Amino acid sequence: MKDIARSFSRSVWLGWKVDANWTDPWLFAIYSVIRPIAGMLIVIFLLLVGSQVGGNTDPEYLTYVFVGNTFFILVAQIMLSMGWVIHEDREHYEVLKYIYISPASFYVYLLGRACSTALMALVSVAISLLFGVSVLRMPIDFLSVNYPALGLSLIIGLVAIASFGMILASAALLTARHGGGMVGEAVSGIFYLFCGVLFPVSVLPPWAQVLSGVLPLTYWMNAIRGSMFGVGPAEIVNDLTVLAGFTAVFYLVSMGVLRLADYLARDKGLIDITTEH
Amino acid sequence: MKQVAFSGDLQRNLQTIVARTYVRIVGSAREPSWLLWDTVLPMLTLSAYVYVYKVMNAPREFTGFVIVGGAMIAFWLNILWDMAAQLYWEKETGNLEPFLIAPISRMAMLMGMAIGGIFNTTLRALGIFIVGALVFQVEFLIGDPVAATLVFTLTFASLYSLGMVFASVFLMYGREAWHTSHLLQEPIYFLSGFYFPVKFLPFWLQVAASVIPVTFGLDAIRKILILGAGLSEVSLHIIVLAIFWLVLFFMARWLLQYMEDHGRREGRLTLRWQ
Repeated sequence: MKDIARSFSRSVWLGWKVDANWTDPWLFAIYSVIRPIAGMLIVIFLLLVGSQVGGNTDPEYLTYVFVGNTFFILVAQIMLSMGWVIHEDREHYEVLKYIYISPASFYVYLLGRACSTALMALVSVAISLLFGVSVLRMPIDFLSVNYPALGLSLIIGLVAIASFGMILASAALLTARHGGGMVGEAVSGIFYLFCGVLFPVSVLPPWAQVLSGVLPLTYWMNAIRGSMFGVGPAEIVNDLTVLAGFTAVFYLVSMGVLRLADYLARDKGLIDITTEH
Repeated sequence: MKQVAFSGDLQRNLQTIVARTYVRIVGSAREPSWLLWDTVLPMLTLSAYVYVYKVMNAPREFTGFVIVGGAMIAFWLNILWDMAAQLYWEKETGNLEPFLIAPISRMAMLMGMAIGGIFNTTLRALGIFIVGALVFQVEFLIGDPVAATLVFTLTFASLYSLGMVFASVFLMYGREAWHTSHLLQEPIYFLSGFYFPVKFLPFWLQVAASVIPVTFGLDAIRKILILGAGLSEVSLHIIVLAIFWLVLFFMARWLLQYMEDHGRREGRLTLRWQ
């Protein structure tokens, strides 16, 4: 247990160093804030343009989208990081083989890297929320937020996101590097479309609603919105229960998938491949 | 004697372009998983934006605007990651030295990357157009093939010249090259109107967006493909894109030489993982 804790904390620390020590803290902070805020502005303008040309001017929908898009930063960042970490370690720093032969568990190492990204993404979420409320005048009352429910939703949700990230990292073990690691962003599109981030899932076709129903992040989005708008615990409990159940399933699946990918990668000699195109 | 040397250089540089293009195309073909990563999955994010317009009861052409924007994102990402950051990546993986030692023009090498990139990315963009047409019933119109050819050619020429400018600058960068490429995603998607026409932005943001060639290229492509515009309606776009191309091409040529000389003097061309 002590070894696992040490491996985990070292990999969180390593993730932080890799992501942050390329520049001074101020420039790093600016880089970290601009991207999520620009992402938020895209969606806000999309709604403003849509309401201007389409006539739908429901202000509650704007807040719905704002909260969904802001917390989605966690999904986007973790998936981006987990889709790239294998290629970065394998081809850029050429250390994947050394991590493999170290006594640390590879699963724990990847979890630590996901945790490091999650901590940085949480800061981006907080800044985006503050930006939305103070600059864009989003009607969110921070005093009426159900913080215990929000905290619980975040913890369970982050485990679910990390599990999906682990499945993506497993796929990366078996595939070549494409572009700049945009694979994670592309995969997070699944959750962006099907989990009620920008619109209620009832808008989707019936087959897509079935898919939404088995993705834990659909319930995570509901629980986050419920917590942010101060909905009572009884209404959030249902979402949290389903979220926890699905998260447990996907966590176990991610462990199995990583084990399988690890076996295949060793078998095919992919642990230290490089792609030069 | 000079003529013979020029002819030899020209032949060698043409061979360089073909060789670099070949590596790009064959490299992608060896691993077909890009079909999933680069075509099918990015379509999901675009679909989310299409549904937002549907919820807002926006006119149908806005679906087309999103699809065209999504196809252009494929090109923008190719420029950022496979052009701008490529020399940086070659430096990091230890390939830059052989490239610099070889008796070839750096521009020829980058041009090969650009042609290979355009080929691969056009396939991805076509995939996005096909899915957009089949799933969301977007109608693409090419009323004026001359205008379409001019706009596409000049847009790609100016964008890939911008990619060469970035490549020369990033050559001197350390890991910040990677982060700068990330930084040039969402802010550019927003400013250049990848998901909505740029005319909806406030005036001062439109002014800021006008220094980015993709803003003009995307606007003109949307006018031609979605609104069926002709040459006269995109003539201003064509002039601006031609100016962008000329300026960026010569800027790239100068910067590439300058940055390489600078890197040699400071001994930064072989620094890795800094």
